[in-house]
This record gives sequence, C-alpha cells and structure tokens, in this order.
Amino acid sequence: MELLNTLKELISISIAGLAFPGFNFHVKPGLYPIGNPSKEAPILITSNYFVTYKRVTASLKKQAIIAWLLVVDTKGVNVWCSAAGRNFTAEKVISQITKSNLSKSVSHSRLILPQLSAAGIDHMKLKQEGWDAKFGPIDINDIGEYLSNNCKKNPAISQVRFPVQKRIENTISHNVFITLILLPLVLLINILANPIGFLRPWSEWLLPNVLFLFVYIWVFGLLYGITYSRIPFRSGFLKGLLISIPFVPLCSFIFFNETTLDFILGIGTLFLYSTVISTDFDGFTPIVGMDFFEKDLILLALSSVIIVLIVIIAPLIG
Amino acid sequence: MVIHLNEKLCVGCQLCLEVCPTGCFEFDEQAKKARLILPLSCLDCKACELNCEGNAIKIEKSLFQNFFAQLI
Ligand code: SF4
Ligand code: SF4
Repeated sequence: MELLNTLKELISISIAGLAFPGFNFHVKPGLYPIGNPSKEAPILITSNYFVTYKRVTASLKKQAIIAWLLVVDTKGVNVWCSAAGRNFTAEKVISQITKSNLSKSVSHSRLILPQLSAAGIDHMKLKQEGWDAKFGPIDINDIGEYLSNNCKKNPAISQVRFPVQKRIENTISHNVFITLILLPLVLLINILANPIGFLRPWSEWLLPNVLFLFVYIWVFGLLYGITYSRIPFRSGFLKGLLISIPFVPLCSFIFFNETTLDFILGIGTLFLYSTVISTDFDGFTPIVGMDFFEKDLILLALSSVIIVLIVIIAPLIG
Repeated sequence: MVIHLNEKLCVGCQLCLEVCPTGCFEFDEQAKKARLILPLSCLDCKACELNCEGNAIKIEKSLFQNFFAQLI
C-alpha cells in the first residue's frame, strides 16, 4: 500500500506537472511563522507537499492559531504516504530542526507532529535529541481543540474519518487514475481484437467500447465513492459487487440489448469494470491497509478469471 | 496481518492509543496496560510497533489468516 500510494501520488503530481509546467509542487522546507509567534508558541510539523502546506496554513489561519510551522523535506509527498514510504522520519525532522536553527526561535522543546506521521517517525529518537514529541490530531482542523485541551486527544480527533467531501475528492483523483490505466488498455484490446484496427469505422468500436468505458468509470466511480460508507462490507471488491447487482444488469439492458449474447457479455464486462474500480479505490481510502488490499486483489483476480472465461466461452456456445 | 501484543512487556505509555488511526487499542486503567480491542480494523501502518516504548507490539504479515473476517 505504501508503495502504491506513493506511486499514485507521484503519478498525480507528474500529471499535474505536465498540465502546469513550471509549477512547483514542493514547498521549500524551513521554519514558517504563523501569525506573530513568540518563543513560547507551539511548534507544529508538516510535510513539504504543496497541497498539505496550503491546507495546513489555511486551517491554522481559520482557527486563528499562532504557531511555528516546521516544514520537513518529504520529497513533496504528503504526510501519510511519506511516513509509510520512510521519507518522513525522525532523522529528517532532526535534520530540519538543525537546518532551521529551531532552538534559536523557541524557548521550549515541545514538538507537535501530525498523527499520521507516526508510521515513519519514531518519537523516541526525537526524545534522545532532547525534543518532547507528541502526535497531534489526524486532521489539522482539530488542532485548535487539541491545543486548548492541553494536548490531549479523544477518539473523535485521533481516528481516521472518511466523510463525503473527502470521498468525492478521492473519487475524482481515483477516476483520473483509473481512466489513465483502463482506457488505453481497452483501446489496445479493441485494436488487437480487430486486426484491421483503425480501418474499421471508428463509430463501430470507439464509441460503444472506449467512450462508454470513460462514461462508465465516471458514473459508477462517483456513485460508488458517494455511497461508499453506506454499502455493507469492508472489502472494496465485495462492495463493488453488491452495488453492481442492480446497476450492471440495468446498464447492460439499456446499452447492450441487441441479442441475448450481447446482454450476457455486457453484464460480464460491466461486472469486471465495476469490481476493478471498486477494488482499486481501496488504495484511495484512508481506512484500508496493504494486507487488506492484497486479500481484495485475490478476490478480484479469481472473479476476473471466471468473467473472462464466460466472455470467451459464451460466444462459442452461441 | 496479525497484531501481537505482549502485555508483559507493556509499560503503559499509551503511545499505541495515541498513534493508532483506527482505534485498535484501549487502555486498561486497572492493569495500567494496553489492550487490543479491534484487531481487524488494523491498517498495517506499523505506527504502534515503531513507537511502542516497551517493544511490546509486533505486526506480522499473514495473507490468509482472518481472510474473510477482515474483508466482511
Ligand atoms: S499497525 Fe497502525 S492501524 Fe494497526 S494497530 Fe498499529 S497503529 Fe493501529
Ligand atoms: S505503546 Fe506499547 S508499552 Fe505503550 S501502552 Fe501500548 S503496548 Fe504498552
């Protein structure tokens, strides 16, 4: 999951980089004053991913928090992925503290780390260097409550949540990602399946197969992302399968209704698309781990083999 | 994946409760030790293992153990 998340993050950054050449997605590591902090102001730590920095500073401003913000060089990757990928470690924090001459700006040694950085940061290493590090809330929007509660946490601010706004955000990133993976693949399969490829009228295959997939990814992806928390099961594969039971036959009936064979093949193909999308979405949720994802992939692989066999055998038996 | 919590080694620092993003642990006030309450919610992030002051937690990878229990 770590690698996958980092990869996805890097792909998204690269795409954004291609779309906006010259735009820098890394924030310069260093010590940033928020408001007009005194030597006693709290020290908050974050990654140097541009989006994280923007969100953290905007949230601190909104909550009227005066603090020192130490931005650590995590190679421009967000807190969770950089910690899991060992780019946000105690050594990196210590190195940034030294580079930024932190002890000159403050008169205390209390550090507040983002909770999700705990997957990479060993707080004892910071202690050995004389820093008293605590893991703050998961969401920066809860930092005000955390500070006013004497740096004490309750489950509401220390456990991951996946509210609808975040689900929509992640669904959009995921849809972009899965479109870039599935669309060229289906395009290639269509060309290979029709040796004369582009010589056939485009309308015969491009519109029904490729553009349909594009629309399907976005409609199913959004439906799945929005209803995600309400669908039973934790497994993305099982969730996708369940939501597909009414959705897929209906779609197949509307769009692939020329013959019974078309209808059956439509069902098989759409089940495959749906479960690929829902299983892969696991990696875009904050509540699924690598171990879990691998189990889900096994279910997806088994069902894909069955569906592909049906798709191959059905036309043979007419 | 399986979480092993060796209660004998637990020093009651509560760091596991502080770092776990899915609330897998709770603190037994009487015994002054952590207790595993939601092992199936584990995200396999290893934050508890890395930060446990008593070296009492081990996260072991196991693909087939709890296969369906975790997915359902
Ligand atoms: S590995 Fe992460 S999710 Fe699992 S119990 Fe430890 S802190 Fe919690
Ligand atoms: S982090 Fe380790 S030592 Fe501390 S309470 Fe949890 S299990 Fe016990």
